[in-house]
Amino acid sequence: MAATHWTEDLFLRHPEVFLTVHENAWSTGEEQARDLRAILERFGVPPGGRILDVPCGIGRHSTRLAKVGYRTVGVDLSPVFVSRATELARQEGVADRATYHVGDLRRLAETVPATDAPFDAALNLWTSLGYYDEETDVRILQEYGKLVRPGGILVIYIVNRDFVVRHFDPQGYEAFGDIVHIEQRHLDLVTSRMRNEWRFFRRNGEDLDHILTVPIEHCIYSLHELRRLLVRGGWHPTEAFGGFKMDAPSIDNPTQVVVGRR
Amino acid sequence: MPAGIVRPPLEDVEAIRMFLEKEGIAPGAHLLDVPCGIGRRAVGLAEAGYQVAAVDPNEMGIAAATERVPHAVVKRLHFASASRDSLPGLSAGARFDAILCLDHALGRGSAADDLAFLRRLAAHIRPEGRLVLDLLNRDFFASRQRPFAFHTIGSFEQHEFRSFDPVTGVLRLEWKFYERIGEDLKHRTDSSAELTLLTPRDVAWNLGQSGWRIVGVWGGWRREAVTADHRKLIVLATPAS
Repeated sequence: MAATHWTEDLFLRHPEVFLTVHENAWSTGEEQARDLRAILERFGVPPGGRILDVPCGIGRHSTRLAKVGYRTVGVDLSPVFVSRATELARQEGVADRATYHVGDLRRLAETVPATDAPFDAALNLWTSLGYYDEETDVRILQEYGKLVRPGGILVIYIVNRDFVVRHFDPQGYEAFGDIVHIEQRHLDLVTSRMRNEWRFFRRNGEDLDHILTVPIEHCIYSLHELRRLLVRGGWHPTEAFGGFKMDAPSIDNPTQVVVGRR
Repeated sequence: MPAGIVRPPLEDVEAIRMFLEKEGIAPGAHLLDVPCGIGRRAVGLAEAGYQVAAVDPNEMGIAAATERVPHAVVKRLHFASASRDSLPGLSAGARFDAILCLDHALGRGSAADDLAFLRRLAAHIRPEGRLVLDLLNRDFFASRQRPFAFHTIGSFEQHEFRSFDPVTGVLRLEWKFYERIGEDLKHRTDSSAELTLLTPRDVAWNLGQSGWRIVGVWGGWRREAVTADHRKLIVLATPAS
């Protein structure tokens, strides 16, 4: 049997673990969506325009963007996340403007209903590129391109390789509700691949009951590499920022945003 | 630290020996190691041929260390305990060629405590003697605020939560100790420490106030030039007079 890709382990086999991570991040979507709206407006996406958000998780950006008038389509690998996203969109009163589908980033064009396209903008947020090899990333960017109208944009929000190199921290700890996430990180400078071991525990009093250990492997990009990747994927790189606030890119900023135009 | 956790052996005894030899303090010389903890370095330095007096406030640790002194160095190594505010607690006539204060022996109490400790040490140094301090480098911790680390020690896992306050220079460390049962972590005990971290200039000032004159500060035992990337400061001082 072929080894399972970690995304399947984490998002398909044990979605309940990462669902908790998403639920805890839900409240941050409000402000990020406001910032995203400013980015969309800067690049000429009309009010009420069509937005494609992949992978969308539980829709913490899309549902918020729908609330301010955009028509959004979200796609995620995990049926659990998609059904939660659909439920949240209904709760927020935007089920008619924010729709969600199960699908694979690598085969986006077959997933999204033809009637939903073309989009004015596509979003790839929260370090959701680099999960496979670089050639696959190029194909993924081409998939977005098939669904976005000429002149439309792609916004990528992703970890900044330069920051990771400068501020490398080999271990990490995060608590999401009763879930504890402990991370051991390794960065291969030659291949730019992070090889991490993620361990998830559930708090049980003072003890930590083990839920899941997943080896995570993904590629991280510096800004110039992302721009080159955009070109290879059929996009014209425009501006780049350090984050959602459109601050200047910096080696000391953990994130970066690049915007490509089709 | 719970029973069952065995500290790994220290690797830097040889580096310390080379550092001392470059100062003309060769095996056979008299060293004072204070506070010595459970004597891991003291044993190594005695094995290297030094005459070592090792003092620590932890009486239980000293009792255990005394029992475990290797036979070969029993004549060269003497453990003693003394209360923290009387360290090194030796007789007035005791004089050493070098005094070693390792593993961030300063900054564990008030600044006045540190000065009083350094002044007491100055009474036990020979005129040509050396004081060697091994301190955490404030600039290292200030420039990379890593909030978490975990260490595996045998079947135990230690989680360390760190916070550094740049205003006070205090590094607060909290530790949770777990035992690994399968992949689960069973909580065993907690502990914490607050350490005041110093810049090389702070250290020089403290030494100047307490009967010492700073000779050099390095980023490691091999006398690397200090940068913010060095976790430790190795400080060398001589008696001021």
